[in-house]
Amino acid sequence: MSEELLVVDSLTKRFGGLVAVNCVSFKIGDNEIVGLIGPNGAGKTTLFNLITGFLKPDQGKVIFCNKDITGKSPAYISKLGLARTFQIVRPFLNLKVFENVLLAAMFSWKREKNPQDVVEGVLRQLGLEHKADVKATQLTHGELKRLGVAQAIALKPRLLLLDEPFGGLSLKEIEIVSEAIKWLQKSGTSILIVEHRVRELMKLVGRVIALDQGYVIASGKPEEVVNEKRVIEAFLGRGIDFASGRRS
Amino acid sequence: MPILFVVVIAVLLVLVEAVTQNQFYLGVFTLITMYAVLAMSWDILSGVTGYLNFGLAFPFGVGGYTAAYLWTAYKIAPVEAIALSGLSAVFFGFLIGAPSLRLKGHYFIMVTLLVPIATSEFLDFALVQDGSIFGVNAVVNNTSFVYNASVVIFALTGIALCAVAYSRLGLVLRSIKDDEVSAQALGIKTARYKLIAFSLSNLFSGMIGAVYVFSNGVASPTNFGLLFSALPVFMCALGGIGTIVGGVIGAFILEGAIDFLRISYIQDARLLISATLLVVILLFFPKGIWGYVRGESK
Repeated sequence: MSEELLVVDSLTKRFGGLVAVNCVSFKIGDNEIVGLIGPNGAGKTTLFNLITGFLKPDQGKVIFCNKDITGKSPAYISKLGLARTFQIVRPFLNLKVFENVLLAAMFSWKREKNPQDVVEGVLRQLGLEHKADVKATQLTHGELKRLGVAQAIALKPRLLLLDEPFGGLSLKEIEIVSEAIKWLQKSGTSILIVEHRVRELMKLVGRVIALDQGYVIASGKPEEVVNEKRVIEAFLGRGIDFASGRRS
Repeated sequence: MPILFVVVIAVLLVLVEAVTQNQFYLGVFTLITMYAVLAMSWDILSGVTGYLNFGLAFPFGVGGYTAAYLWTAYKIAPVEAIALSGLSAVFFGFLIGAPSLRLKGHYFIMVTLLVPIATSEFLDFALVQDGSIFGVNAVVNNTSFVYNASVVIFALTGIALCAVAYSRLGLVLRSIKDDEVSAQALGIKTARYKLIAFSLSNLFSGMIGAVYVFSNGVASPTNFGLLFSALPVFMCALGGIGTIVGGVIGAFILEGAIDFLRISYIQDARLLISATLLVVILLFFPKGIWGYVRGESK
């Protein structure tokens, strides 16, 4: 087995009395696309924030490329080649689309010699090349989402965390983003995706981790995980045993 | 385009001196030039990078005091003293900026607002205790030197800050203004870039503060006055925030109005007229004059 790219070891985060992430452990290898699913409030975004340094964990460790990055600053972690997008898209709204992606390419940990060329390629990949000189405020929601993904790709990370890249996108746009993600994987990046559109996600990923109330409740091949009882319960709620009047 | 604008203005300022030796006119243009430098310095940190600084009087005053002290105590020539004053303003600015640039929004504004006031109060106190250093006489009784020094610093500031603001470094600064968290997420060490913008701002304010002291002949606590903090902000708002050259336009209009209205019989109402002018222009051109011109040409 090759060296693990990312090792998350018994990560825990409490907000007051609420345990948002509870002793979560998993690994991601090279060149893998992994899906992270779970109902609202399962702790997916918190987990992302813990890994990328936007929140400090109470317990546990995050190891990236054999370096302990637990509690390090977002900028430091990003420089090691671990990038993310946000669930709520956060491109620079008052900058042009081209400038948005250029910034990402300029600060890629790989130190591109010609960030300009990278930007043009990435914009073409996501179908945004004709919007290059438009300010990001003028984009539609779908285009903004794609811009977020474009920024992440321009960073050329070793590991990319995508927070709901399909949220609010049309099927055609999901297609474009999916293609871009596969393209990125081929160039040697591993990707961890949080997504509610489970059907579209399953076409893309090789492995799925299911989270509920801060715990990892299942992990494995997509078709196995989605059929697991605990996962279905987490998403749809438990059945009620009417005979006894008790929740089964 | 913006650099060209600065160069043209600098050349025009040189022509003014060639045309007239009238002390009053040269004095007014010196003041306008000084305020233009302050406005551009304010813009690089506040307009471009988005950290609103209401304490520009601090580097301005520090620069002035440094120049006066170097001149009186060590007989350092004005030109060298001006350069060293810029560095001194950067140094003292660093002491303030290193902790305060971590603050966001109105917290940062409050710190910048208070620092020059506190410094001025301290100097007032020290003036009573010990008249030897504070309130320094630094007479360089030469209008032409002061005028030329301001124009040179104006050109230097304008070219340097336009070069920064319209380059990739400027793009990074604008990204911090737009969304600092996103900038960090891209791996941008925002603290470092904020400090660069802050230091540039202090460098040029400090240098022009030194020139101001040489033109006034004295460094006093009033050099830390509110006007030096506030007027550059209005000038940038007038000309276009975040454009660097906007501050130059604003300085000409506002300081020009304030000073040239002295000439006529309406001089008692000149501040009122200037303020009205500011309000009217902002009402019709909320993005400032330069922003309006650029928007039209697109």
